[in-house]
Amino acid sequence: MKQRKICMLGTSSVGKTSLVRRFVQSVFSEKYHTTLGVKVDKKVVKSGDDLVCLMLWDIEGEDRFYRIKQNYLRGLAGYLLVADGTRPASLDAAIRLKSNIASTFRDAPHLLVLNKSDLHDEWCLQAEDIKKIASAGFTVVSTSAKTGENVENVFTKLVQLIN
Amino acid sequence: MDESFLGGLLESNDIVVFKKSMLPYFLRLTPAPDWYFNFITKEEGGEGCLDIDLAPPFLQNFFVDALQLPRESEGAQISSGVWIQESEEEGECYFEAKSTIYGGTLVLIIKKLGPDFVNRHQQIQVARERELVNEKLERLVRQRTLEVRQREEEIILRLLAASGAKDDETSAHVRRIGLYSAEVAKLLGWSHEQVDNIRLAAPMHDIGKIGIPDHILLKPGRLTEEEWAIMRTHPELGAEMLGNTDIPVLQMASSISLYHHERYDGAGYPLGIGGEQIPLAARIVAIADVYDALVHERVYKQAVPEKTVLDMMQAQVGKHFDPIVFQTFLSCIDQIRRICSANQDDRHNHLLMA
Ligand SMILES: Nc1nc2c(ncn2[C@@H]2O[C@H](COP(=O)(O)OP(=O)(O)OP(=O)(O)O)[C@@H](O)[C@H]2O)c(=O)[nH]1
Ligand SMILES: [Fe+2]
Ligand SMILES: [Fe+2]
Ligand SMILES: [Mg+2]
Repeated sequence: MKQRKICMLGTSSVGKTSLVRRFVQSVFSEKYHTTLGVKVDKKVVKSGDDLVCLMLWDIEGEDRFYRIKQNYLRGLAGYLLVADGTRPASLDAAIRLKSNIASTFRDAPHLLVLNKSDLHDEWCLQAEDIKKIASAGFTVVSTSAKTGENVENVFTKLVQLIN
Repeated sequence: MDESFLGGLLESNDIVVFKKSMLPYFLRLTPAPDWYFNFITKEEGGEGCLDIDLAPPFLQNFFVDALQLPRESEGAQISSGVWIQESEEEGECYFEAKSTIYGGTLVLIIKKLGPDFVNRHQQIQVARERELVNEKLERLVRQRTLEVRQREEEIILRLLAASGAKDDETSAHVRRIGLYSAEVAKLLGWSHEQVDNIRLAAPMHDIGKIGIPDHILLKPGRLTEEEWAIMRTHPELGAEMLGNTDIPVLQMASSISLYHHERYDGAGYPLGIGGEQIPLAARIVAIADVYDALVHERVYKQAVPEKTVLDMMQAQVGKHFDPIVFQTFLSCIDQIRRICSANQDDRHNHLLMA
């Protein structure tokens, strides 16, 4: 079976772990348990007529306590840049991350994931942020690890881009 | 392999040590604790053998780095960083691998992280949660500040509309001047706060006119020399009304009022100063004001086509207008036009005039 490495990137607490858990185990927890280091999960998905084994690399959020090791990205087929729609700063972090890794992985398919779409009241991306997203050249998908909205979709979409 | 190197390690139940053998195998040199079989490998490749290709993906990725360690770099060491494995028996556990060259051989050490690490995790957890709270507070403060600003702006514009209701200064006109000026200031590299200030301060440039008697302010025909002299006191009147304050936006408004009829060549009033002596805010507003007055219809005059306006103004560069500010104004003319057409609504004004 084909294997594909997908990295979950984004600053801390945006929901990288929650998205993987929702996708792989169909569960969600409100409690925040920060990831230290890396956790790799597997999930087999259909891609056309083939089965593909996705290796989901959930990497500790890059922030002032942690820098991602470039070695972890080796061999990636695609990546999800996750931001939290209730935290504009997390969007800046995602854009920064992309510009950091784009030089090494120029052609790697990726999507910008605006997570926590269930938190309508706290959602606070402004027109200015949307402009930033557009000028950074992202394709955007908004998701909720809590309700499951678009979670399957975002992975499926990335797999399609990879193949 | 020298036993003394392994001495301490052998006793530890948290560590398993290997040396590189024929690829893809590493040979285990220490006893295997339960966690090793639960999390790392069942040693399908034979007892005492760690088959790289069957190892957890994270570890496989680390082998690539480990195998690149040059044989002759005795003592060199690299770490995999922390990773997490999950097992049915023990739930989530944290691990770290290290690789070193010892006696010319590649050695691999896998360590299951214990209570020390749990403490560290706890510390970072708390720090991250605190960071989230701070981020949220900052966001709230910023939002509140914005709301207060918007309220201030609304109050200013309404009072201005009321005060300007007599003559021709409509509330849309003064609002546009604020917005044009802010646009130019932004391009000139002003701080966020200063840009906000000029947006609020510029609309007040003519507030001194409320001190001019109606028979002069509203006189239909030409003003006499004497009447003109009175009319020309409005910059100082306004500066006085707005001055004597510690509030930055009012200080700026006062200064704009005082200097908005000065000219770059020094032929303006009330002081007749020129060039850089005129505060930059006033040089910006002078351009914004003339542009907006010309492109719009007034009681006593028709609207002038924009192209003609810009030509007329260009001819005044170095005379009436500061060349650099005018250049900046032109460079954002598209944005100025957008502001202009988006701010034609004068409902506030009509309400207040009724
Ligand atoms: N309401 C809501 N909460 C979410 C969603 N996704 C994640 N969360 C919550 O956000 C917090 C952080 O989620 P994680 O999945 O741990 O975030 P992470 O990106 O893995 O964070 P680090 O491991 O620290 O980098 C947790 O409290 C989750 O319950 C979502 O879609 N909606
Ligand atoms: Fe004036
Ligand atoms: Fe005016
Ligand atoms: Mg996580």
